[in-house]
Amino acid sequence: MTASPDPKFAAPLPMTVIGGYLGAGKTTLVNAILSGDHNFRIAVLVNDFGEIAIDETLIRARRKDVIALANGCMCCQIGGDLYDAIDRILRMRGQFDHLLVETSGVADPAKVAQIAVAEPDLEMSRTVVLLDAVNFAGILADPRLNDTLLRQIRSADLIFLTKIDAGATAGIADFQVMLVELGCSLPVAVFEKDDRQVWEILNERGAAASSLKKAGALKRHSPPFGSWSWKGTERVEFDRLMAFASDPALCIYRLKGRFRLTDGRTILLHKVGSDIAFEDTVEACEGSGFAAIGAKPNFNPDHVGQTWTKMMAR
Amino acid sequence: MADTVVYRASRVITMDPTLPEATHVAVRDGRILAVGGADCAAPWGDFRVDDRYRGAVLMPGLVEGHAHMMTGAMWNYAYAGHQDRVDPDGRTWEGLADIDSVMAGLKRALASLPAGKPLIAWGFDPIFLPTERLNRRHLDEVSTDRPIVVMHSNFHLMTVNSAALAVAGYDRNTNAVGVARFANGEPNGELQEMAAMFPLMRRLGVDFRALARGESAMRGFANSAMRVGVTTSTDLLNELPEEDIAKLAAVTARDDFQLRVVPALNGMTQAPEDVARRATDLRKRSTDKLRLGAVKLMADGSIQGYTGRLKWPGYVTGHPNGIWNTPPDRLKDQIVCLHREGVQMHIHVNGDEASEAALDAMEEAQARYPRFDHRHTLQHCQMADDSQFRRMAALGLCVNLFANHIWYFGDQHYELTMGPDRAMRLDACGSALRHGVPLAIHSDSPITPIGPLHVAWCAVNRLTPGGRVLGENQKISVEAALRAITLGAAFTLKLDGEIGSIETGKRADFAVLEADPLAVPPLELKDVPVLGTVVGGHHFPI
Repeated sequence: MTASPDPKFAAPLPMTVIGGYLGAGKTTLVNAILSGDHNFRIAVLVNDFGEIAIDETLIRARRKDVIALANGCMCCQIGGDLYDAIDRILRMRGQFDHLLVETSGVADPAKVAQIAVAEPDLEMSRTVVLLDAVNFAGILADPRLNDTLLRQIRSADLIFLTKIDAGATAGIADFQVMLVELGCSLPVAVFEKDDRQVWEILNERGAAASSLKKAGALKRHSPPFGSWSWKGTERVEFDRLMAFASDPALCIYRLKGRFRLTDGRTILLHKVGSDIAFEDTVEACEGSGFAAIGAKPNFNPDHVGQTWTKMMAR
Repeated sequence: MADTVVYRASRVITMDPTLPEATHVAVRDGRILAVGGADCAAPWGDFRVDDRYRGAVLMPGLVEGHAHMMTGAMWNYAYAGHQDRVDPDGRTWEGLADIDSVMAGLKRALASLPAGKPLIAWGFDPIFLPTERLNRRHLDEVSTDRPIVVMHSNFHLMTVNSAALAVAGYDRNTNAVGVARFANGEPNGELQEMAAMFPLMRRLGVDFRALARGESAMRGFANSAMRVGVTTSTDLLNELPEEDIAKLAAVTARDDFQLRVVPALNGMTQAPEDVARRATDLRKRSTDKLRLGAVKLMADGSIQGYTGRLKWPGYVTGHPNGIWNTPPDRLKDQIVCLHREGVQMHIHVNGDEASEAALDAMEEAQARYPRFDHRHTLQHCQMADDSQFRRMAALGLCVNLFANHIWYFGDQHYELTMGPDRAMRLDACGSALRHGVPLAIHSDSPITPIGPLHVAWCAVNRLTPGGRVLGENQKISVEAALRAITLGAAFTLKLDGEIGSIETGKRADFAVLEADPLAVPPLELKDVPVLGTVVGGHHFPI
């Protein structure tokens, strides 16, 4: 019987969880981390070995379900049971600085994260969830998968967008609107598959206090958007709403919302670029709400919020 | 020439439509030489008559189409369940009806435990205890220094004492979700879900699955099967590593091993093409008593754990929908690939959204690679409605329904998961037969105790402990139920040509019963005493 945490080791092993639906790019991220520029000895647990593509020159040894790399990292196939796999890593944890767990495409990453919360020999670092910009809307619309995806988003403390060019401004904005509407206001970064510095972002939480340089990594990778959202029971005056939505000073690129108007109507309103469209809706709703997105620094969430509040107070 | 032995019985129920009933069966070389009357073996030369079963009823050896080897491993630990349960050695462990008897049982178990070992118990179910919920204070009365772990019957929860909490380092500052607390903030000893249980299990060396791989678990499993008349059982999810296959083959081959074992390879941890290749290789390594080659897939979780995937309107309590073990698109890839490669699949589907996903996948598989007689089997399939049974029939699927659920969880399904109307079609054996879907019924042991006559009793009577009849119109006849636990289950394993009925040429596998299951009142079907089994002509009296 071992007292805990295991006295052989000074500190628990930090654990990062990678979540995301099938095809979101989890294995690509693992590949980028394993062959990235960092001095961390990372043990990685993956679901499917077949897709691990490591430069052969980096590989020190390869066994049936383990690949050991010259940089001290190691990649292990989970096989039948995640707990067995974690136990195996913990038995040799003096060899590693960090544990990275790739969840299955339908797993709830929050449940995996709980392993590190409960286990004294582990310490939860962060949960990154990958969202595939191409297939996201389709999965969200599938009633069989919708709840799985929402659980994944809710479990995240960082979102990586994949399959999108970091310069695709409009696409990223649409994406942020969708996330805000889903109640997710997390930092979002774009992950492109040749990004060798991605580990800096993932490890930022641990490093933030000690290294200002590293703390900037997420900012560099984040798309240049800000967002602001509002929910309320008040009725909104139509003319004021239109003036707010089209106010060029606010630099709102994308706005989507549902509004109960003072004239009794309920409308859906969409703004993309300078186009504004609205339509009556008969869907029952409790109140009004919207999300607005714009390019920073011209779009300033605080300023947008103050303008809205002032308008509603008049 | 080999010996011919003719066994006389009070009745032989053959399951052979040509000769449904006989009084004698002749055995040579472990196989059935002839069936009929006293002279059935006469054309085959000399024989001797063995009268040991003259007062008994012989049935084909019963077939358990969905169970797990872990059944044999549980008994390394103390039993703390609500219902009486029989261990592999035939000892009856009395059900523990209240917290005081649970504590008394644990004290007895502790007294016989070697020094220094933690006390592990299993099978506990708080649902059945009307009093205060079991907590660490109760268990501290059993011992303050030895760690005590009481695993609940669903394997998702455990209750432990203070010494065990200390082993995991759990205290009032622990922030893990699954570590339940008293009102004063101290952990109350209940640990919920694997993440919270894991630190304790790895420190105390509790590993049910590793135990299931040892020879003692295999022996225990075979013993438990023999006691309920089972001569062939699946082990329906196995990683089948190379070293285990050699051990399985060696142990099962022994004449004193009472069971034919049909393990199904876990088809979810590798790419479908690799699974197909592995399964095809394994099939070639089958022996008389170890039948390899089938694959297990799992679509969703369990209904009573709220992890089954349900169609609208979902759980009657408003619980969120369950989880996919394999999402529909990947399930489709697996099913289409394995079907194309001619690998037989056992597909775990509990909720009706999961069975629908499997049916959709099978439809595509059949459209692209039409196949007759593939025998793919939907396992559990507890919520399927008639439209789904019609599709099963059209796609050539078999179904293995979890009829034991009607008794063990029927009231919970009525009140807490599906609600009254859908609970009526829980494990709809009647619909399966009406639509011509080949039917087996099972226990999923150790989830519920292995015992095909009990499962058959459930399918015939559909009673719950609360006194409900769950679906009068889904009841099936005793004849149909007996077929489902013999030839029906054998059909789902592609073994109906060699086991499942008492017919010339088949293996001499029998269940030896003290009474005639076709003659007793249907309500007493589960109480027909089993006297032992015969496997390949070898006798295993209880």
